[in-house]
Amino acid sequence: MDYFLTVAVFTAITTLGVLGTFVLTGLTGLFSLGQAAFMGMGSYIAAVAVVKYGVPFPLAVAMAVVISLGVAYVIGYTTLKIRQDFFALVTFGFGEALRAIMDESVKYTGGAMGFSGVPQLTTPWLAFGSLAAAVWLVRNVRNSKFGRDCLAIRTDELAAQVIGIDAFGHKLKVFLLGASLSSFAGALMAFFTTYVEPAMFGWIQSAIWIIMVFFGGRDSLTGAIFGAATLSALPEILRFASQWRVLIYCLIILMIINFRPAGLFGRWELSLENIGLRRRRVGSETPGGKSHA
Amino acid sequence: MPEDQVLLEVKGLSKRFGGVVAVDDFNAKIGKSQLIGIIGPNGAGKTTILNLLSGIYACDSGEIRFNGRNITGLPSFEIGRLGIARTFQNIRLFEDMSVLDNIRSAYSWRAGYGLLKAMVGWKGVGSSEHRVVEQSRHWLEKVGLKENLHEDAGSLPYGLQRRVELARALAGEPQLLLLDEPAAGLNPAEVRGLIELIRRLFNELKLSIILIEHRMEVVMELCQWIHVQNFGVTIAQGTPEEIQKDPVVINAYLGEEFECSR
Repeated sequence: MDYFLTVAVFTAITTLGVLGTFVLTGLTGLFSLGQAAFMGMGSYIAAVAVVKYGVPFPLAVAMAVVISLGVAYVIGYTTLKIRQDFFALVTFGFGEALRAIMDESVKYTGGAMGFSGVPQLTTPWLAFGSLAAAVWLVRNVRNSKFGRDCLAIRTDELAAQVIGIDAFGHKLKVFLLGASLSSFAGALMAFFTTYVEPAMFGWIQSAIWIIMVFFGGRDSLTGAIFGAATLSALPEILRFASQWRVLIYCLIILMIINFRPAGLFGRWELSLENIGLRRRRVGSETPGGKSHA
Repeated sequence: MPEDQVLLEVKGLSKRFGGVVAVDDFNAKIGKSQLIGIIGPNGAGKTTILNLLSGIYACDSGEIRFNGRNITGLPSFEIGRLGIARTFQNIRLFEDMSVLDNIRSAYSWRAGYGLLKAMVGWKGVGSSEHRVVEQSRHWLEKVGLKENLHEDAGSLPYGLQRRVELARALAGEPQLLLLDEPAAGLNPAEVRGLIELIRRLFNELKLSIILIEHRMEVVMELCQWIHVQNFGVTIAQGTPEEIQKDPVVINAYLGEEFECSR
């Protein structure tokens, strides 16, 4: 495959995974250091099912998402009632535990050596199409009452409860949505890179995803996509600068956080209305209100 | 009061924080379309009573019945859905959201669509949102806000934020509205406006209101019945005229002023 196309597909799949962090951390304000672990879970379940048990690819992907949803339900149900700073710690523990399981169950996963020999079944069209569909779904959610509820809970959970919003139930739904997006991305990733290893899905990866969301603007879906796409492609693009690229990467992030604390896009969303191609309709306001970019 | 006219009945409500008894054996009976006040010096447990009624705190003992139903121990979102709305002493708006969206949030649980329908952009979502916007505008007009609906709620002046919060509470179409010091931080002109507004809403909407307030003119002008709290205990209750003459109340308040002026 062409080098640029490879980078583009890789970026698209990563962006799909980061959408999970966008709804959970960006909109709802729940810091999960285990989000990448869901990607890892999706990768391993789908890859092992196909390679070891001969499960057809589409079914394996569906299995990966469904099992991840089940795990997310258990994790979410038990942890989303505790305080949000503890939630970050518990998801950190979950992510690392999952990574340890992948590391230790050598018989099935190949352990720290990684799991190779996965057929390359994720075509560029599948990756781009999946991303487009996911963006459309997340955009619909954000523009509905769910987007408002996310922001309301993030800003003042107590006030949200008093006006009838079931904060726990809402957070659980958001957690499940995030987990399904990230695990789906994981399944696609395994069948694109043809090789997965536990180290790809540790808490550092989850932290990088959070950085990507805040870089683009945590209230803006456009920003999250831009942040994920740019920051995951940037290390590749900066490859010519060899040993300086990590430094440049960090500098760019620091500049953004310093000069645009609300992220690159703030609350601005790319839409036909916002670039003046269509007139605004009643009720089409985004949850964040006016654009502030 | 005939049984079918009772909206809220509170029996023996108590709450302690460590060694401090914040509310001790609070009893009250509130009928439909009644406006009652709770007054008392700082630390008398007034806000704690509202927090217990709206399910923010769990009580240690006692019973709260709303429309004949025991609501003791229900989570606050369920109490909100049953028809008890409130405002807060230190305004709690969703500051980063527009004024309109603040009100729209109060309709979330009645929007008539779930996550899956929202995800696929089911056509009912649009019409539901349209209806909610219209209804939200209606409540904002009721409290006198017609402009700046797309501005961030947090960027409005203090007095207007109070009105937005009131509109958000009303959007829950409550039968009982709890107002926690609605006049705090308002200037005398704004206080007059607030008194008129509460009176008008009370007459138009036929709801019951429990009002906590330090500004005596607000309580004395609006309330039909007043509970006086001191150190968690109800020391007197009656009509505004009775309360103004009650020696126990005068003692509680004047005793405090004597301490201050020394």
